[in-house]
Amino acid sequence: MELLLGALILGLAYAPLGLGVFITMRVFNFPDITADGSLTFGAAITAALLVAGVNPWLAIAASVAGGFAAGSLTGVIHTRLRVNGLLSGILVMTALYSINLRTMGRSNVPLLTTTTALTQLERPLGALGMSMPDSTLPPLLLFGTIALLLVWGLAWFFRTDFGLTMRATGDNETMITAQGVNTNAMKIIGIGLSNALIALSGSLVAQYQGYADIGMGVGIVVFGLASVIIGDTLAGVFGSGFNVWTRLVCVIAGTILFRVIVAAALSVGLAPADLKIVTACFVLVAILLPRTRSILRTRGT
Amino acid sequence: MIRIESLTATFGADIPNRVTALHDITLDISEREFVVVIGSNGSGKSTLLNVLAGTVQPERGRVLIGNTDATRLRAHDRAHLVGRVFQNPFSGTAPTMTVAENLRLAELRGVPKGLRRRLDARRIDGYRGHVAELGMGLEDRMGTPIGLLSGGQRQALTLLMATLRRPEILLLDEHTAALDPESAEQVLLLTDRLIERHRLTAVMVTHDMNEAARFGNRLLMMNAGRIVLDAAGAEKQALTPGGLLARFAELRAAAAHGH
Repeated sequence: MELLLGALILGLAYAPLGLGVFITMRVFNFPDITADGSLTFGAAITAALLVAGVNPWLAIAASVAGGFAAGSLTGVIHTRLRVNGLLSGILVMTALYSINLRTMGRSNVPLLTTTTALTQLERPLGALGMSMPDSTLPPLLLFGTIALLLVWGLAWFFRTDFGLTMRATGDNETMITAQGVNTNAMKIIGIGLSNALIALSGSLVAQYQGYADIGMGVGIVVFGLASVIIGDTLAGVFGSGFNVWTRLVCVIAGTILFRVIVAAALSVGLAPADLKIVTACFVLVAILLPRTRSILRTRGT
Repeated sequence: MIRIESLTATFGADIPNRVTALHDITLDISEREFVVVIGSNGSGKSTLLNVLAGTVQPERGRVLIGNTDATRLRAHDRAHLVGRVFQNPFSGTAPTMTVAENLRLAELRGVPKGLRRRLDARRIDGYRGHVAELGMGLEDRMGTPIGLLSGGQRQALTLLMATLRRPEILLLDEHTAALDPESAEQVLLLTDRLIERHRLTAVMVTHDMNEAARFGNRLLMMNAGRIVLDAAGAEKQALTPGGLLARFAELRAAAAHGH
């Protein structure tokens, strides 16, 4: 139960990451590895500002803005300077490593004694007589609320005229150019939005875990992708692959389920060191599975 | 009205064997002219269309669309003037988006897309009327992702999308070449009907001499980057597929003897 609760909270903290990866991978079909740097960037900005005594909500906002800047930089390098998409992300990710170290001043910043958004919530919740063991209530409420707001906001966004334009940009560039849309600008905004969400995850996770670490973003894009793939599978089960609402809710469910699976695997003896190779293999198999199924089908006929 | 002034377009300007796709072309297209362009591969007919669409930048010359000097406008910057239908039926529509969503984007061709949800039931009903006129039974499938429709259906919808907001010029790039004969005929008749109904100015590139003889009120034949035949009015009406093929044979013979 305790294990499940921890996985639920961590899953909700990583929900913005899942949504961010969903935007680049599924809406734009753009493998954006900036995520590895921008998650840490979000954590680093929050850690530095919290240690300096800045209001935690301002620190979260600053992380989101930093993530947007990092993502749109990848977008600019990719579209305006015409650098391969993957390489654009790698360049920004690598540059962010230095920026993150500079932001934090060292490779690990503990936040156990600083005021965070979570400690700020503890008192009013306590005053209402609401509490749970190990102070799990503030993160559960905060991360859950943020996840719900994001799903609601993105579902709304993707149905506005601007959101339709963004989806069409990922779907068919020729078509949307003919409708008068500058696809470069749309990509820059979209990749920026994705990384703003990913940096938000970094900020939340740092505050929950009580530290920001230079290595916390390593491989995170694969974790995000695993969540999106689990979400897609769930969406497929519900049989509504095109409904934006369902897909976004399934991404959140995917991030939570992914964390539950990770927690379960660790508790039955998976070494934490092996977590990344297992996740990478999972994503590879998940990508190959539909393909082998169609290969088998064509061979059968 | 469209005006093309001493237009030259070159590919691979920086390599030794550069190709001049368009050679000092001057052309006026009046309001409501439906111009059919024919020519063999490499004659420059597609380049002419791409220069009008803004996807190819001319080396020299000017392009005026309506009252706008469009020479330096990129494709997305001149979209308010131009409706386009492509050879590939997959090019004109966003496959994972619904029929209604695609039509909404077409309705916003060339105008800013805001942060408002405007695709409501009333608007979808309006689109349904237009879609019903295509006569393909798609009016009940407004919520269907376009990718699930056939090539002919998608091409008919692209045509509707290109004319939903009246363009100064409609560009048709061999838009029936990838369809089966029956769908091609259906889309061609639809093209003719929409051009007539909205009193459009249109340029259609085709490989098919039958199409070239049957449709349009003006015909351009291109060869080696130049316009070699410009027939309008009664002269255009008198053209036959056989006559056009004979012209092509003459050109080929002249090329073999000349130079």
